[in-house]
Amino acid sequence: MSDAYMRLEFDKAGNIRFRGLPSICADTLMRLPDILASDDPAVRLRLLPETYRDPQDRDDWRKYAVPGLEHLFADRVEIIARDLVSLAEDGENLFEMAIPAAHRTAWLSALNAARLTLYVEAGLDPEDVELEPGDLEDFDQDVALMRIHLLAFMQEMMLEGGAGFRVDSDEPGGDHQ
Amino acid sequence: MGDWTPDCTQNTSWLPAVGTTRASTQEQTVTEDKTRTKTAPPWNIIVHDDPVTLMNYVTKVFMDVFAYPESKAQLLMREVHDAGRSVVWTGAREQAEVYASKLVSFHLLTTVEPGVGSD
Repeated sequence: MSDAYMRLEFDKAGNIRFRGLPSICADTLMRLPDILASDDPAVRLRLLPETYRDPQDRDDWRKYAVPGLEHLFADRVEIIARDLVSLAEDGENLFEMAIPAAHRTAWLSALNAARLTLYVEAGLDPEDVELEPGDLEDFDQDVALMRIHLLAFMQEMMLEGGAGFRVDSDEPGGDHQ
Repeated sequence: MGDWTPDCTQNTSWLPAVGTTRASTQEQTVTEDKTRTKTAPPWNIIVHDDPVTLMNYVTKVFMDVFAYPESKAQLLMREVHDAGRSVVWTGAREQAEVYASKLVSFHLLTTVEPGVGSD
């Protein structure tokens, strides 16, 4: 009998392997590239917020900072999509997936972006996030809430397992100059 | 809170010397004005609370971006959570923009605002 619970393993190099992922979790992971590609203006405003109050400063920010951030976000989507190729059934109706150590920053950030995107697109309120899946009457909102919690659980496992951000991140233009 | 401190401790050329004459005092005043105009006003980086981002994620981001010790990062995270916002760093504008860009890259809700002494 297999260990039928979701867990995370590290090897000596810091590479991660998620094991025991239920099918709903695998389904949510497979949707990540699409979730992260959202062109909803409200999502875009949340992920690329108005950082300055002054109109001229805002224009400068959009001109000089936003293109680099957009490029970084797009690179992360590519990394996530590439790693998702490793998502596979383990023969026990559960799934497993490998994340290279150098992709940890991309994954932690992308999981956060996906959770924010789901929250904004579903029109959830701050109080909704405190609820459990099944508590919301609206089906689409309830599914979004469930996915937000699932991705949070994965994020928590990575953070609590010591998988902080990596200085030797693969990210082009990196977050860690 | 924040790491920015005025640089006046390093440049003391404008300080009046003991026994200065009236003429030299005027000269020193001019020098003082010039020195002050060279000191860039500080800018604040403010992180705002959001209901989705995990608290320990925010702590890790503060540790990563600013190299804050965990205790300070947790204190700031707690302030963001409890007060709705926190000034997480204060200093020169150029550096503020670099830090703000990093925080936004991690999807923290971030604004940059002029601090005391800015226009």
